[in-house]
Amino acid sequence: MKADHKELVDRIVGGDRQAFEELIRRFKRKIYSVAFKMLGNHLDADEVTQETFVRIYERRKELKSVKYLPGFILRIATNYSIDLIRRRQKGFVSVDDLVYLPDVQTELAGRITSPEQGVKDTEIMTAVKMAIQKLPPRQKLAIILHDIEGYSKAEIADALQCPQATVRSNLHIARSKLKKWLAKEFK
Amino acid sequence: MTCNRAKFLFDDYLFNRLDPETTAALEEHLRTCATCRDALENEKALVGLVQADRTPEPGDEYWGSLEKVILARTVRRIEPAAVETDISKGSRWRTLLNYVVPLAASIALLAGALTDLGLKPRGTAVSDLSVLGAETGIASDAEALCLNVQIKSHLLGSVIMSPPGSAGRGIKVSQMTIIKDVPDEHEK
Repeated sequence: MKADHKELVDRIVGGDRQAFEELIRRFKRKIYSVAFKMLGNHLDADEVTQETFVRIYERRKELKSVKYLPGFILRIATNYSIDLIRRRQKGFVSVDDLVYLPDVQTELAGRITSPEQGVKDTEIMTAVKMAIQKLPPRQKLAIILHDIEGYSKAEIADALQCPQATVRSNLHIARSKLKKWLAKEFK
Repeated sequence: MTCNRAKFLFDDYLFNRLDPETTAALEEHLRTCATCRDALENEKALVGLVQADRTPEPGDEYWGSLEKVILARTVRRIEPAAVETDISKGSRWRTLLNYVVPLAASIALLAGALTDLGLKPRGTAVSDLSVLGAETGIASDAEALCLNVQIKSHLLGSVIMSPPGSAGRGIKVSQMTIIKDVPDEHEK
């Protein structure tokens, strides 16, 4: 654990309220960002952000044995996000249920040659957002944490408590689904 | 390097997580393999799109209040006993204010009303006022004294039960002054 994180953790475990506030300040934006991308709306992202910190405080004794603090926090946030998704998922259609079209070639490379151009295309961006939201929770998390938030596979594996190979697999499947779905959308 | 190995490395290559030797080997493969070049471009485009999906910023007001909200929620969850104790203390004070004070006021009003209706026990008052009447020289014979004392016992009782400084007390005192004149006329 980083030195500044370690000192903070020691103080939180000792019941220092100001240290807990400092923890909130350090990680609230990161948690909110991940939660918003996972759940797609402010209310749920806010709920995940609040509940994550409450649960961290509840489990503050465990913090001493944590090797990677951001991973521990991320685990709590993502687990709760997945819980919420599963609760709200009734009625939604997963990409898994979409018809697989083997002949459809991915046209993304031809249509979008750089991220900058992609940002300008709201139609495509809306489709990308929708596609991400339709991914199963674990695959969605892999995409969000790896591609958007910039976590390494090792960090994600630590957060999700699974082997790196699983993270890699989830990432690969998620990207394949996104490509297929978007190719179908813009054919 | 095989195509499968190259594709396995795409992720780390896109995020600059490969060591220089592996990077050089992959780039060498890409120069000679058009299929892998296309696949990499495809991957890069998708990652670019996903990264372009930015989270809307909730604003300073939200971030400013969030810490307080989390702390309050934490206290409610973690230390319900403390919150309960605070609530209990508050409840006790509220109970006192809501019940004891109105009860005390009601008792005082009831007592005042009973006195005004002349229900105060007269036996004691008569003996006290007999002395008072004698000292003031209002009654010169027993009959007059008895009549006078009966009237005064009612009035003095009202005076005693009236709050200090109230209009009721002033009126009763003035009535007592008038009564003081009654025996004088009777003596004549």
